[in-house]
Amino acid sequence: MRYPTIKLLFIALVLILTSMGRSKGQSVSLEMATSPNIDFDFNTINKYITGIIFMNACELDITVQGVQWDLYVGATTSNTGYWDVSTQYSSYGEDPPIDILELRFRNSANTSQIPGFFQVRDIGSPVYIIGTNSAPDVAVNCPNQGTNQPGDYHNSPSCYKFNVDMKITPGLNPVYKAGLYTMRIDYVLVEDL
Amino acid sequence: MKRILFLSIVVALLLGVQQTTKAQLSDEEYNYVTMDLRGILNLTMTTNPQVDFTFKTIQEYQHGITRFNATQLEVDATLAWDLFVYASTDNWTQVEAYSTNGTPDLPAEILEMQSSITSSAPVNINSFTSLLGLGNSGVAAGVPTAATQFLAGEVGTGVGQSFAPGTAAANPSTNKFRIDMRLVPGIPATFPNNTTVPLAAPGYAQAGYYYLEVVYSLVEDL
Repeated sequence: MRYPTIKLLFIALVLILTSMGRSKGQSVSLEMATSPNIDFDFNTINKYITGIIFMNACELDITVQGVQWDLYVGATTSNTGYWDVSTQYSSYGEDPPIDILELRFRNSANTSQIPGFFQVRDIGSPVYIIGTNSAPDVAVNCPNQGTNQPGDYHNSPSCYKFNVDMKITPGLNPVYKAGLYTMRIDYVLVEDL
Repeated sequence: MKRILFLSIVVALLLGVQQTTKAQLSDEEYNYVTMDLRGILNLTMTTNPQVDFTFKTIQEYQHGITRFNATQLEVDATLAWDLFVYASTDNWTQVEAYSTNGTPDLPAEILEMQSSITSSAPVNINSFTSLLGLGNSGVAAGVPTAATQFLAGEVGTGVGQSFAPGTAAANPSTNKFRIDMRLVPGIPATFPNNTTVPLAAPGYAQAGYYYLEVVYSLVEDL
């Protein structure tokens, strides 16, 4: 009778100890509520000159429990700093750089650290919407700019839901090679460590 | 048994410590963005496409008629471009003859044209010049040659052989063309300014009603 009891105690102990790591209620979750595909079609001179803006191109919903968090964004392409080329229609002009794509993060509390549109950078040097690349950041509670405390978009959408607008204005100076280009935008929610 | 229990506890503690020294929590989402940059070439004629010359006085025959700004063209382009001009036929088309004297075969070259924008092409219409008929223009299936009259750019893709992308609104000095046209019949109507293609016998034009189609072609610099 003694050994089975010890075994049971042992198993219980293992389960308790191994579950201790994340049983503290710590988690981060980033959900995209919109289609992941965004298409910019420049088929008129006017669109080249004035650009195309996609309002609410992307909605990001954040749920964070038990930890302080950062949110950053960057572009992933094969040739760092430039759009991936699917096909080119002309040899005249330059390859388009990724920074012609501009983003704007909005929510009703204006918690984004970067108001207005900003140019996309490579994911290797991302743009921080919340927090910084060093840690720990100063704690900021909702609804202040830079809110980085635990919370969720159900209860506090003003701080934990972001609408992302996208804008591209190719212009005609410099001229980019006519063609079809692609880029992946990475949104990363991380624990502030 | 105690030894086993001790080892088990150590293992369990290690597992627990491994979890508590955890990796950074993170989650990611992605957007896939495509950008289609179409090549756009827009040629717009802002004036009436029909230009009429009516010769009804001796003075008009002698001195001719000049239509300044007969045609205005605007170019909007996202690519490097060339603009050339040619007649769609070798001769004017006679609709009606008013006389039996003279030749009805009037070469396209009797029409003189002049562009407000200087072209560096070897064959151009920088000053009043006979418009080349289809055969003399060298244009075949819409493709120009070195013999074609260019208003902008020229054959070839080298530096200076094309005009840069831009809009007419922002670049009127390079993208807005004013084309002057002139016809000088003379008496008899030999069209003396035309030294390219002589009129057929008897050497002067038959009185009548004629028309000619002038083609302006905007192309990517290829």
